[in-house]
Amino acid sequence: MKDSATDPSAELEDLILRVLHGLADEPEGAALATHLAASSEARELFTDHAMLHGFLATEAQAGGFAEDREAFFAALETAPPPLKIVRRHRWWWLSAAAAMVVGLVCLTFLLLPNNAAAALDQVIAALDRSVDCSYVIRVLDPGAGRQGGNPVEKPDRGRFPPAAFLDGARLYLRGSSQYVLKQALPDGVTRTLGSDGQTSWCIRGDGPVRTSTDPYHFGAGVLAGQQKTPFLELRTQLEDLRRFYQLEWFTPPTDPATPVRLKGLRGSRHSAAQGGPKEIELWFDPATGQIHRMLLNGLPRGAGGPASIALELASTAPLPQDFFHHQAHHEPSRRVEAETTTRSR
Amino acid sequence: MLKTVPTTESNTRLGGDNPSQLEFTRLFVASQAAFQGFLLTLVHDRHAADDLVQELACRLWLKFGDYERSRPFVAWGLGFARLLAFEWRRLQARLPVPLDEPTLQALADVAAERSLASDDRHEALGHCLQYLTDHQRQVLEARYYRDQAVADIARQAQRTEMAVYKVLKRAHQMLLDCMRKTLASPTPP
Repeated sequence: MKDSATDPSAELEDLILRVLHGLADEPEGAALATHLAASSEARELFTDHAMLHGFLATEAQAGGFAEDREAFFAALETAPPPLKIVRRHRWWWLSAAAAMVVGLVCLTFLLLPNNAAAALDQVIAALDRSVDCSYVIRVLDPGAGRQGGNPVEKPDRGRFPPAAFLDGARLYLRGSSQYVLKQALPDGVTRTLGSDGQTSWCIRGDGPVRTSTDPYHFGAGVLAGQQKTPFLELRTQLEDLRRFYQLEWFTPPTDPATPVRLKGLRGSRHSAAQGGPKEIELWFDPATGQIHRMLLNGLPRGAGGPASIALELASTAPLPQDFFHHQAHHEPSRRVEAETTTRSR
Repeated sequence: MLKTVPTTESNTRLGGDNPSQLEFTRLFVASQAAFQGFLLTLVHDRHAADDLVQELACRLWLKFGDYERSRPFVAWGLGFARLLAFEWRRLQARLPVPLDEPTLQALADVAAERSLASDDRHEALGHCLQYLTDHQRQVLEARYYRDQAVADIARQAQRTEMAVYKVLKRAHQMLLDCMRKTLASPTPP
């Protein structure tokens, strides 16, 4: 398929546009390369078209081709369902009764000596209940060394966002299998990734929605390519804490802003061969098992990423029912692409 | 000490509190179209260019401490973008347009020169978009906003690929011609 022309400059322009629109075959690509090597005019024409191609993509994302730009933006704003606070009046007494039972069980365990592992079981049990909560992520140590206020990181760490940009990210959880992580990237766009328990997904800015059947497929990019992200795979991390860490109690400092008296569990990793953070601290409510603060120190930094982060409880307000489905985070017309099973960013 | 964290969704701010992060983001966003165009000229694939823009943001942030404020941010970033595009090309098993090193450098020089005037060119494009026909606008919307391949647009519109391609080609030619005239014009549009 060629829009053939006998004029050499028209033929060159045709080649350029066919390449840019993905229509050129191998000999045509080679022919364009010959033109570009031979002539500065060809390079200028190619650059003009390539830059126009880029501008058009930018313009399209800004609604430049919509018939009614106002309607286009209104649709973007109204497309995702509004985030309503779901109030669960009917079951409050069941929840209250369950909380009381859990509280009593916790209290029983906590009164016993050497009961750290049992208390950890209660924290895991609390996590397994499908209760909504959200945490703010704080980067306490972005990594070894600093230069001019920026972390010095390995030059070959690729396209992973620098550790500092994880600071302030928000993690939403429902039970142990549903999560959403919202993070601002250095170019100003927000990356939202999550899982509804069946499908994991990732949306970067106004790009397509990428989905996978691997529940943690997109988590690998959060901590500079670490295959396991402790705070996304929180249940696994807590189980590891019980199995592979030396546990000890500590007393978290009191805080007037936190009405409950929190208990503290600190785990130190037995062996470096196990992997994972060197030290984990949990500050939790002994009545409910709810984690209020989780500190991950000495994170593996093979490819960079932060050395130490904290998760701080921000809210326990119920989230909209569909919050953990990707559809709740983009307009209906957004392209959806299924990924292969290999973990990616 | 346990910090007090806001408990409402509405007052949660994404991103760090560091002023240099905010400054960086502001500069990068303002220069993004220039970087995008530059990278596209060297890698010839829109999706690859999108990915490289993301990676460029990370690299520039890591070096932001070295950035001299007296220098235009775009000019500073283009050096990194050039290296990034060259690295990307080296890693590809096959390239749609195989270029030797001198040609690639020459192309990068032209693209860098154009990118430095990116704002004017983008503004000129904004003016020229008004001359698109409805049909051209629809095809451009499908190609660039919905990111559909030419073959998919043709199938949906029950037209041939050639017909769709011709619409795109004429739209490109018209826009480029209009942009050149607008940029050459002594009075702004």
